[in-house]
Amino acid sequence: MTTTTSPEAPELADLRTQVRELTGQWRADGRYEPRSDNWMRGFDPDFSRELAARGLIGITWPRTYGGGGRSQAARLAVNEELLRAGAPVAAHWIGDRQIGPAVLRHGTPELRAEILPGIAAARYVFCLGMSEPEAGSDLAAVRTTAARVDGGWRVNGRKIWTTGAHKATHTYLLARTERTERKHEGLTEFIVDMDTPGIEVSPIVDLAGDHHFNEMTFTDVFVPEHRVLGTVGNAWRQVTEQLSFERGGPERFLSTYPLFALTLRDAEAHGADTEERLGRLVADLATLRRLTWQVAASLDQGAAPVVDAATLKYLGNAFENDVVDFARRVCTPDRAELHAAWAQALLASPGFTIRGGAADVLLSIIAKQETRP
Amino acid sequence: MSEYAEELRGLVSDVVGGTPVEARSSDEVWRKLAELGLPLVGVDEAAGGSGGSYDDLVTVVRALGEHATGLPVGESALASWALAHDRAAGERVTLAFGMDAVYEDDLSVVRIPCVPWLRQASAVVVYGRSGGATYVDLDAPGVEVHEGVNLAGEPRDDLVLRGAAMPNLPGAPDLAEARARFGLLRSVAVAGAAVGAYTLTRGYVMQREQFGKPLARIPAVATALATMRVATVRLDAALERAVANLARSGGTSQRFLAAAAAAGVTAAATAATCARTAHQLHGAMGVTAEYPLHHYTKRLWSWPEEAGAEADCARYLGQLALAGGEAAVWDELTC
Ligand SMILES: Cc1cc2nc3c(=O)[nH]c(=O)nc-3n(C[C@H](O)[C@H](O)[C@H](O)COP(=O)(O)OP(=O)(O)OC[C@H]3O[C@@H](n4cnc5c(N)ncnc54)[C@H](O)[C@@H]3O)c2cc1C
Repeated sequence: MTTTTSPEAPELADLRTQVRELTGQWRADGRYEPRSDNWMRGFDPDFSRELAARGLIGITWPRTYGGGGRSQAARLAVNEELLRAGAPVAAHWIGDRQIGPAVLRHGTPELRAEILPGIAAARYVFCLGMSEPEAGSDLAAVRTTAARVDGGWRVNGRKIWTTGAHKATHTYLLARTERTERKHEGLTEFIVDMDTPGIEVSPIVDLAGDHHFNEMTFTDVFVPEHRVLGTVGNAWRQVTEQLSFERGGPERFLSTYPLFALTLRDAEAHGADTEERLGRLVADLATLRRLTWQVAASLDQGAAPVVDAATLKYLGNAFENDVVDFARRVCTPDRAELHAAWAQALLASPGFTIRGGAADVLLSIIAKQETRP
Repeated sequence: MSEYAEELRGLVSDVVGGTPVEARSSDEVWRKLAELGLPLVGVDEAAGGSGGSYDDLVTVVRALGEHATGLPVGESALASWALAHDRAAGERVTLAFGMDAVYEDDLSVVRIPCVPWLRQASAVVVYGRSGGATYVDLDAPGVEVHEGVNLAGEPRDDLVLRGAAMPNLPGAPDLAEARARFGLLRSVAVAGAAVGAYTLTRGYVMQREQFGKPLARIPAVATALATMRVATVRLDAALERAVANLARSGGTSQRFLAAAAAAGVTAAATAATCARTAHQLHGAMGVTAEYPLHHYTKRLWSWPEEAGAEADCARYLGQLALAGGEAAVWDELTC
C-alpha cells in the first residue's frame, strides 16, 4: 500500500463550486445537455473558453506558461466535476490531459512558451495523430515518415481514428524518422499546425451516427525544426509516459456517470436484487475514485504509475459498461429519459475498452511490468 | 498507513516467515506473537494494551494473511478494544457476534456458531442482536465450547450458553462500529492472502517451462496473471479508503461504515478471482497437499463471508445510495 494524505484539501471545494456553478448555469440556459461520453463527443469551444477564463485548464502547469501552478489533486477535482455534469469538454480535454504535460516534460522552453498558453486559454485544440491503418495496438508499427529537409521535416503518411481532427488547430504526430532494425527506435514526436498545406481530413462516422473521429492524410507536409517534441528518435519512451497520463484519469470510469446518476433516480422501485447490484456499483465506483486519486498523487510526486494507471483504465472501463447493463435493468418503458440516456451510452460503449489501449493490451502491459526478471 | 508498517511487517515475518505453514505449531506461533504484544495492538496501554492504532493492527493482520496465517490477532485486539472501558484487556479474549445465534429447543440455550479460535480463549466479548455487549468467561458454569473448523482447518467453534452469567459491558463501543472494524480486518486478511497467492503464482509461471519457454511468456497466462494483479491493486485501494475514512470521520460515522462495506464487497470479488486464477495457473501442482498454494486458497474461500455476507454489504450500499440520492453518493465519493 502506498502512503497518502487526506484525499480532499479544503481549497479544492472552491474549485468544485466554480465548476458546479458554471455547468449549472449553462444547463439552466439550455446551452448543453449532460451526456455520457461527452468528454470525447461534446465539443464546444465556448464552454472550454469559459473554463479557461476561470483558470481551470492547464491548472497544474507553471504560471509562466499560462498554467495555474496547482496540484494534480486540484486538476482531478475540476475534471471529475466536469465529468459528473456530463459537460462538453472535448475541445480542450486532449490538450489539457496529455499534450500539455508532454510538452512540459519534453519540449524546449520555446516550444512550451509557444504551445502551453494557447492550450490553457482554450485557443488551441489538439488531436492525437497516433494510430494508423496498420498500427493499432502495435503502435510502434507506424509508417508515417518524417524526412529531414532544410529547416525542418517533410511528413508523408496516413493517420486514422483521429478524434476531433476536423475541429483541431494542432495535431500531435508520431512519425518514423529513421528506418531501424528495431521498430521501437527511430520514432519522433511532432507538433503540427492543422492548417499546414498537405493535410487532409476526412470524416469517419461511428455506429451511433456521430462524427468524432477521422482519417488524416499527410502529403509533403512541412514541419519546422522547432516543432520536434523531445529528442529525435526517442519517441517510444516519451509516448509510453504520455499514455500513463492518458490512462490514469477519471474519464476512464466516469464516461457513463450521467447515465448512472439517472438510474439512481429511477432504481428505487426495483427491489432487493437491484439494490444489491447497485451496491456493487457504488463499491466499485468508490474504489476507482480512490485509485485515480492515488495515480494523481503519484504524478504529483513525479512518478509514472504505469501499473496503477493501466489497472484503473481496465477496471474503470468495465465499470462504465456495468453501468450500462444496470441501466437496462431499471429502464422500464415508461421512463423515456432514462431509456434515451441508456441507448446513447450503449451506442458509445464499444469504444470504451478500445480507445487509449485495448483492455487486453492493458493486461499485457501489467503482466510485462510484473514479470520482469 | 501505519508509520510503523515496515517494523511491524518485519516482526510478523520473523515469527511466521520461513517455516512452511503446515509445520507451524499454532500454539508456538501464538506465544511468540503474544510476547511481541501483537494481539493487543491498537489497545491503549492504560487499558493493558500494546498501544498503537487501528492502522498498525491492519498492517499486522495483512502481513499474517500474506503468510497464510489466520491466528486471531485481530479478534483479540478488537475484543480488548471493546472491553477497554469496562475491564482490563487480555490477549486470550476473542470476539463473537450473536447475529447468527440460534436458540435450541430449550429457549434458554443459545448457540453462537463459528467463533474464531474460541477454544484457545479464556473469555469472549459477545455482541447480541440488540446491540449490547456482554462478557462471557469460558470457565464459568453453563458455558460450552463445541469445536469446529473452517475449510482451512482454522478453529471456528460454537459457543453454547446454558443460562450462563453474562455481565453487560456498558462502556463497549457500538455494535455497528465493532462489526465494521471486524469486517474490515477480515478484508485486510483477504488482501494479505490474495497477495500471497499472487506471489506464489507469479513465481511459478516465471519458472515453470512449457513449449520451450516460461509459462509467463504465453500471452493467455500473462493476461490471467495480470487479472490477479488488478484484483489485488483494487482491493488495496478499497482498504486504504476505508482506513482513511475511519481515521478522518470516526468509527460510528456512516462514511466509515459504508467504506468498510465497500471493502467487504471488493474483498469477496478479489478472493474469488485470485483463488480461481491461482489454481488455474498452477496446473496439477496446485492441487497437491504438499505445494503451499492451498493454504492461501482455502483461506480465500473461507474468510470473506465470515464477517458477514457480501450480498448484505452490497445491499446496504445500494440502499444508502437510493436513500441519499446522487448528490450524497458523489459527496461520499469525492470527500
Ligand atoms: C472512440 C475511439 C477514439 C479513438 N481516438 C483516437 C485518436 O484520437 N487518436 C488515435 O491515434 N487513435 C484513436 N483511436 C484508436 C485506438 O487507439 C485504437 O483503436 C487502439 O489502439 C486499438 O487499435 P485497433 O483498433 O487497430 O485494434 P487492433 O490493434 O487491430 O486490435 C483489435 C483487438 O485485438 C485485440 N488485441 C490486439 N493486440 C493485442 C495484444 N497484444 N494482446 C491481446 N489482445 C490484443 C484487442 O482486443 C483489440 O481490441 C480511437 C479509437 C476509438 C475506438
